[in-house]
Amino acid sequence: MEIPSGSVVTDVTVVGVGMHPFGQFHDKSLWMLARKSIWAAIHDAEIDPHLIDVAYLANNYSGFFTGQHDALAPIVIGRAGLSGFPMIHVKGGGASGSIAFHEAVIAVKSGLYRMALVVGVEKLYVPGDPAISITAINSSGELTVGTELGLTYMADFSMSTKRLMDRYGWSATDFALIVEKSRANAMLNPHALVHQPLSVEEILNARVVAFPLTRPMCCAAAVDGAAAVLVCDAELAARIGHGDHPQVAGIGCVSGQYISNRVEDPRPGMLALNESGRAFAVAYERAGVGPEDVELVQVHDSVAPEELLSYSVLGLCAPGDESSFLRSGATRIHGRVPVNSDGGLLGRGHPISASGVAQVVESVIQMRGQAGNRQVRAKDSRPPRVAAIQNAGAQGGPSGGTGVSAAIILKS
Amino acid sequence: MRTILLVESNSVPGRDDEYNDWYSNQHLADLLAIPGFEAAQRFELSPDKRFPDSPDHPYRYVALYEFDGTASLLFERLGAATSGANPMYISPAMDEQRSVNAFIPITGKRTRPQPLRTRPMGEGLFEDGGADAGPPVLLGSKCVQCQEVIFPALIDCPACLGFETMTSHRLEGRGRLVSCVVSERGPSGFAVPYIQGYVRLVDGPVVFTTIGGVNPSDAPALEVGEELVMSIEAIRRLGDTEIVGWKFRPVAS
Repeated sequence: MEIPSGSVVTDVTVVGVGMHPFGQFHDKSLWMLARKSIWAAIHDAEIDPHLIDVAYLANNYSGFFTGQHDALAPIVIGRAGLSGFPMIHVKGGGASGSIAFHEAVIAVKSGLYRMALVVGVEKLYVPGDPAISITAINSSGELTVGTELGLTYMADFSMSTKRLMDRYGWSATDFALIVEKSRANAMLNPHALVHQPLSVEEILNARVVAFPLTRPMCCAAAVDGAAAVLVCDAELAARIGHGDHPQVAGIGCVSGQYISNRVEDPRPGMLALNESGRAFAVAYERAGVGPEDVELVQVHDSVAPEELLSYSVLGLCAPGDESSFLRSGATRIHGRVPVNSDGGLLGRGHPISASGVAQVVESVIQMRGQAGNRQVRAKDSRPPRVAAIQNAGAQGGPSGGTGVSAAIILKS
Repeated sequence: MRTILLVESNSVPGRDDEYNDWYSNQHLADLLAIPGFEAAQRFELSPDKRFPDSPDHPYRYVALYEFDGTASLLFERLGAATSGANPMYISPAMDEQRSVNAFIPITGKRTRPQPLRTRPMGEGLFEDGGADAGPPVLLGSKCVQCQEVIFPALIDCPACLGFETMTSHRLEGRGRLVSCVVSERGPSGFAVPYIQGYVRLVDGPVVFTTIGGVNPSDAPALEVGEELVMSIEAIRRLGDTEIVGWKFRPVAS
């Protein structure tokens, strides 16, 4: 296919999406998970794979488990049969998939590249050894004043949660309602880990991980999975075109204040989400939309209270109104602003580098009207036209803020 | 079940080299080829004596074998190996007078208790006061330009981005509880359950800590704002190393 040179890139679109289910795949290696998602995206886009001219691979922990710390991007993507173009390895805790997407958008927007492949893939499941997955994930937090002193992510979340409960009047039932919703959505998602619903009662009475968080209120991270998307400029997309391709209308990527006593809302622990607020301010502005325009949301709910907090951080409701917003049903799959329509981290599982890309996959599928029995219907029963994605990852430093927070607005 | 076989023997006079060569280079391997024999080692009697006037020990050489099984199984297998159509070769350079005995362990192997090594957590993060030097402190830094105080210390100021504007600043080990939670699980080396928490130091920074002086089951009684004081002590055990770091405990405890 002939590609004229010198085209002006005005918009960046997502033209292909693909997934490998999230779950426990002890017999499948990293590259086997990745290649499934890569080729699914290529076939979904119906493109000649020769068009791909840059790739970003998000993966955090392969080095920890296999010793293959470096050269991961060319190896994993090369084993899917693709090579010859620049390949960049991206890490960033839970945000790595979103960072990889961010880089791809910049690459295409610059005009230097036309078709970018983004792959997020992670293997964290080790049969019979759940502790090792936690040790691996700990390397996404600052060790010297964290893990080495006894800090665990779940305890950190718990402490933040308790302060927010005091401040905003949340209850454990709110968290259970979110889990129930996420699990119900995941049941409708063939790629998700969770296949069993749980009632609010069962969620509240489950084993306590770190008070007030019970096991189902925390995402499962010892999970394997992969997701891939193809991003290209609008002109090329129109010529591939077999349908509406959502545009990347706005993207914001920020990092937390490494250390400070003057952080605006000093709330130790990883639930601060200050960074997400700032990232969304940038993304909304670039996209020319406000929270009132958003019709679908995917958030990084590593624990249920994180989703609850995201409601106000993203401007979907006022600070302090998160609980009543939730209980109004607005964020359920057929509500006004569905949140985590595919189950989110709680329902889908959290193979860490893959999650950020899976959020894009779900958003695009929904916007195309291809989500089957979990299809979100906006006004006039049409698929959503404005989708927001929030992701965050890695501990940014002793002040506990996130290392990177990404906000993405897709429009169709 | 482990059985020790102790074989004491001598070489035939004048055939010592031949005996040793056979024993070390062939015989041990022959024994190890018998199922159940896991380890073999030879020893020679030292001329040093505990009691110089005691009678000389009748045997110069000892072979010690470890066998996985009972003594009777050991001798059954040994007997089978030394008889039949193709018996194990026993060198004529070994004197026929031998002592062959099986021993059953009645204790495990005990070793001298190793003193625990200690090392501080991180580097340059705290100073343990010790008896004369006063209470322990955390080593932070303060910006000469904007007065920001942080922990851990940095060189360039993260608040005003001043280049090399931070100087070292000792932080008092006193503060107030911000939040805490009891953990049933932790990174390896932390004895569970334990209490994780954040303390806001009187000097400003909020620091992560484990909380001592409180039974984890009494943790819910800890109040936000409760006064805490720091001590430097062992906080983690990794192998034979104790890691020393800070812990905060209620002033009242």
